[in-house]
This record gives sequence, structure tokens and C-alpha cells, in this order.
Amino acid sequence: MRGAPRTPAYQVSRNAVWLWVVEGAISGAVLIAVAVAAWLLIPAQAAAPVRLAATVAPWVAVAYAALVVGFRPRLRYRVHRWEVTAESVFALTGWLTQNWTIIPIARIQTVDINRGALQRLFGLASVAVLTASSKGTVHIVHLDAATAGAVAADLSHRAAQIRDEAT
Amino acid sequence: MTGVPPGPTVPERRLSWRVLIVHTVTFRQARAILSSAGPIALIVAVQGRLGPVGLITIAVLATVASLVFTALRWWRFTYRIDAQHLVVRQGLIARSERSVPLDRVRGVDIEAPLLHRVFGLATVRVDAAAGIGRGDEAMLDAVTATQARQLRVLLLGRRSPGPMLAPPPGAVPWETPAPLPGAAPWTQSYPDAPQGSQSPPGAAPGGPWTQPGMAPDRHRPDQVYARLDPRWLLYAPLAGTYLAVPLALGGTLLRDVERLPLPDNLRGLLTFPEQAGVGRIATGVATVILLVALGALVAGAVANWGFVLGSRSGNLVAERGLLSRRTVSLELDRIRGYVLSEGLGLRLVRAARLTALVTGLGDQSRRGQLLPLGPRTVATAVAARAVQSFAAPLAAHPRAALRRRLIRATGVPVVLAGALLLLAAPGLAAIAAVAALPGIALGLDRYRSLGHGVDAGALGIRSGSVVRRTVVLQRRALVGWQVRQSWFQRRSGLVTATALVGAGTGGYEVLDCGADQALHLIADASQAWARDLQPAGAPHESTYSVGGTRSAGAGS
Repeated sequence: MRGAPRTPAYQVSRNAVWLWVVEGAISGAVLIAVAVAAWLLIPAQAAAPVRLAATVAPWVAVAYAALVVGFRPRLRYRVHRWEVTAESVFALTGWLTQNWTIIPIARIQTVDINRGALQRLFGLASVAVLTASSKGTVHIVHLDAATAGAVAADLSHRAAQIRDEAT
Repeated sequence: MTGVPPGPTVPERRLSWRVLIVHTVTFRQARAILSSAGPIALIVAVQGRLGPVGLITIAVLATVASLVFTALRWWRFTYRIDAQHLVVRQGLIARSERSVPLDRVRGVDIEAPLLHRVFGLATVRVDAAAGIGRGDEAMLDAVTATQARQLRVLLLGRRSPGPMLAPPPGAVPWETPAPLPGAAPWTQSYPDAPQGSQSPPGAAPGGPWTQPGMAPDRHRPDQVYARLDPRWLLYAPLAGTYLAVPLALGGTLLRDVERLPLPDNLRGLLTFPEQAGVGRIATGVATVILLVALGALVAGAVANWGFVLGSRSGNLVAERGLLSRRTVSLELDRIRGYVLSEGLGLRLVRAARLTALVTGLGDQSRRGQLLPLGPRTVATAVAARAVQSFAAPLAAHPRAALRRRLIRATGVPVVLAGALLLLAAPGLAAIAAVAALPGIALGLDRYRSLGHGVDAGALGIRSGSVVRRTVVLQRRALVGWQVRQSWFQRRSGLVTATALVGAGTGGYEVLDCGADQALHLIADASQAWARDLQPAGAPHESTYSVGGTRSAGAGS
């Protein structure tokens, strides 16, 4: 739509979809297990509303699991975007509520690379670009590890060269 | 440090011995250790197991214990300043040594509570740039008032070192408080300084500041930006923050008034009998309001009496307090902007309070105060002279923002009224509908407050109704932008843009401005980098291709 900030050019690594699928599968499986356990453990002579809730809960859990495995990863892949230009680094996240964050290279204080256990499995890494402001952090999640390393190295190198005095 | 001559140093030394008296009398050190013994002794005494002799014995023992602890701490506490560090060593058995690099010192506070003032002492608090959330880096409790001032100059004046140690005895620097509390208000001891005006160095020779052998610019403000006019304290009852404390106190008092041994007529005035007439209730309410106002006035006077804001050798120095004098120094280089806050009560009388936004300053709202209370015009003038001038008109936000403010402010009662109407309770629904009326006023006012603007040096953001805040940020201080757009905002063409700065709360919101407005604001306020956010801009030369291999090294 007119007037909205530009959408950054790049998407995250394609592998991120699989990582999110695995994450969704894990949380869905846990939820289903809990719901089924509740359904099994709640006695048949419990009050009618409780019994009804216990019967419905596993199906709700299954629906949730289907959503977080089948739909959410693709949605996330679509809405996570990032870009590094000659003068700034910026990122866009969010679906219902969209969130753009832009930081000039000159104001970067530190650049972090994070690799979680699951991320390692899929060869991914996240980059966090920090400034003097506690709210001014650009998170670029789930890049492939080589890109993340290149981005972080380049950003910190350029930040050191053109760092401003007032932060 | 090459090229910078080493500044003056302070050899390893102890705190002032006079602090022994102060801390013994106040049981300062002993309290920590004997905190449990005190109440026990009190209980024993109250239960009458002890005669007067026993009581005196306990008192003497406690005092001696206090003296011993105080003396031990004093003996084992030393500090020194070498070429690059302030080093504080302390600890009775487990020794600790803290070393604060001088180039990281952000601010030095000097505080002189009543008893300290009587003995000519002051507490020095050193605030250094470290991780966020860490408290004071070092605290010297206490040194003599003269030493405190020297230390401040030493700790803050690294950029222009000079012979600051050992000033002539009897020197009276500008911030020396009146020796006795209340005897002579500080503002009156320097009648030659015109209010709120510049007092260039070297003026008023023989005045209370000037002492032979002393660099005059070190011991008086280069410039005085503001002095608190005692009449401004009359605003205090209208400032919200003061209101809360006496109100709570008043409530407690009223609850307990039944138990107090008061004469009957006074009790009748203070309590609300079951069949009280309207007149008595009105009297009671008026009494409470009067008491609250009085309490606020007194609290405001005690905290802010003789408030002076000035600048001296690159630092903004604020001093205030009736009983306990407090001096806060802030490096001018680290000030990034200011906040002008006007509570509802203060807006009625066109008054405001002014706070600086400083990088790396803990307890910003209290220590960053540039004017605790004053007319709005004065506050704006002080802000312009001390921090940053800002003259741009503030642009209003689109009508859609008004709709959102109204929905936010009236949503709950309106929905409630609708639900009650559906439940066939028209009476209650009417009450809920009436409750929405103040919400309409609030929403309208909140919308009227919204505004933003940019001028050559700064960017201004205004919002809020119950407390209206005008935030002015130096454009050079911007470290980025965040633009948020919810689904509802997208439908209305609005966004909430947050200006990111490394001071204050870290980010200041431009609430519900038009998406185009936000992009213009960002483009105007920021340098070339903000172009990357613009939608219809020229094609951007990116340094990365999608695959992650770098295509160009357009780094500079």
C-alpha cells in the first residue's frame, strides 16, 4: 500500500522453513501428549463440562499442530525479510503487526552471531545488530551460516570504519 | 593517552575523620550488623524488665558498638586517584578494590544530608559508563565539602587538567550551602547574580565566589540557566507525583484517626460519622485537599528549595534541597535531548517539568532533572539554552488517529453498555454509557496532544493527556528507527514510528502518525541512511545478493 516503508529485499534461508516445521512439530507433539493424557486421566464421572473439555482438547491440539507444522513456517518465511545496504541494515518481521527496524551502519555498536542447537542441525545462524539504544536492535534470524558470517563480518568491519561520535 | 598531560592525582587517603561522628550518631555501620539486636532490646525495654540503668547501659553499648564498627570501616576504607583511575579499597577482612577509569566517569553527584552539612561533609557518588543497570560505581561517604568539590573537578575535568588541589583554606565555592539549614536560603546568599541570566567569569570581583588563587571558572557556573523562583513551588500541589504520597498518607491517617487520642471536636472534624450531612462531608473533603496541598508544598520545598541549574567546564550542574543539599553534574556531551512533561494539573496553570535525556545515566528521571517545576515558558527557555533549541511547529496526526484514540478511551464502557442493553438492564447500561463520557474528553485531548516536527538540529514528539510529554531529541543522537503497523493501523493508513536513541528509555514513539508523514519525518530527521526505508526511492545498491555471496563492496 502507498506510504508504507519499503519491504527489504532478502528472505531468510530456505532451511528456516524446515527448522520452524521441526519446532512446530515438537510443540504440537507436546501439546497433543498433554491433551491426550488429560483425556485419559480425567474420570468418566467428572462433571459434564470438564468431560467435554477433556474430549475436545486433543482435537484442538491436533488442529494447532497442523497449523504450526503446515502453515506457520511458510508464513514466517514469507514475512521475515532483511537487507543490508551501503548505509544501513534493516529488517521487517510480523504478519498482522508489521515491524520495520532500520539502523545506520555508523551507529552499530556490536554484531552478534547466535547458533542454537536446532540451527546447527540445519546449518543456520542468527545475526543481532546492536546499538546504544536498548530498543534499537535488528534481529535477522535463520540465515545460512555462511551468509550470517559474511554479514556480521562486513557490518562490524564497516561500523568500525565509519563510526559516529554521538551514540 | 599520548599527548594528554597527566592530570593531578590524589594520593591514597581516608575519608574525613568527622564522618566518624556522623555515622556513630546515626548508627550507620552498626545498623547493618545490629539490625536484629535493636528491636529485641526495644521489646525488652518496653516490657519493663529493665530499669533506667539497664536502658542507659544498652544505649551506651549500642553507641560504643556503632563507634567501633564505624571506626573499623573508616580505617579500612581508602581511595586514590592516579593518572587514569579512581581506586577505592575497602573491606574489613575481605578486601575489595574497585578501579573506575576516569575517562568513563559520566557524572558526579555530591549530596550533603543535614547532619553531613552540620559537620561540613558531603557524600560523593561517581557514576561511570558501564553495563546498563549497574548502580553507582563508587561512593565516598564522606569527605569534606572542599574535597568533594575538588574531587568533582578532578573526576570530570580530565579534558582540561589544571592545578586544582589544595585551594586556599576558607574558599567558598559557589555551591557551598548555607551552614545552617533554613537559616539563609541559598538563593538569597548571592543576590548579585541576576535570575536566569549569564554571569560571565570574572564578573563581580570580591563576590562570594571569587577567591584568590582559584580559577574562577572552576568554582562557579560558566552560566546560570535557571533558578527556582520560590513562588513556583505553589505549582507543587498540582504536580501528580507529589500528589500520590500525601494522598496515601492522608488516607492512612483518616483510617487511624479513630484510635488517636484527639479532642472530641477535632475528631468530629476529621471523621465521617454515619449520618454526616453534606456540609460535614464537604468540610472533610476540603480539609483533606488542603492537607494534601500543604503536604505537596512542603515536600516540593524540601526537595527543590534553592534549585539552580548552571554549566561549568563542559558539565551541566544542578543543585537543590532545603535540608539535604544535592549537586548533580552531567557531561554536556552526553545529553541527547530533553523531555518536557506537563501533568493535567500543571497544564491548567501552564507549568511543566524538564528532564534531560543522558546516555548511560542511571535513575534518569531524578538525576536528569533540569527544572523540577516552573512555568512552561521558562522550562522551554531553559531547555533551549541548556540542551537544544527546538522551534519547529508540530504537525498534527491524521483524523484516523482521533478515531483510534476515541475507541481506546471509550471502548470498555461502550462495549459494557451494549452488553448490558442486550441483557435487558437499561439502567446499568445508561450508567456505563455515562462512564464513557470522560473517555471521550480523554480521547479528544490525547489526539490534540499528538504531534511531531523536525528542525535543523532536533526532532520533537508530543503525546499524552494525563501527562503530556514533549520529547525533543537531537538529530545527531538518532541511532535508528522502528516503524510498527498493526492490522488496524494498516487499514487506516497509520503507523507508529519509534525514534531510537541511546538515552532515556531507548526509544520514543510517534504514535499513530500517517504512514506518509512517518516516512517524511524519518527522511527529514535522519541522514542519507534513512532513504533505504523509502518505498519509491531510487534502486538501492545492496552489498549482498540473495544467495549470500557478496556482489559488491560498497562499504564506504
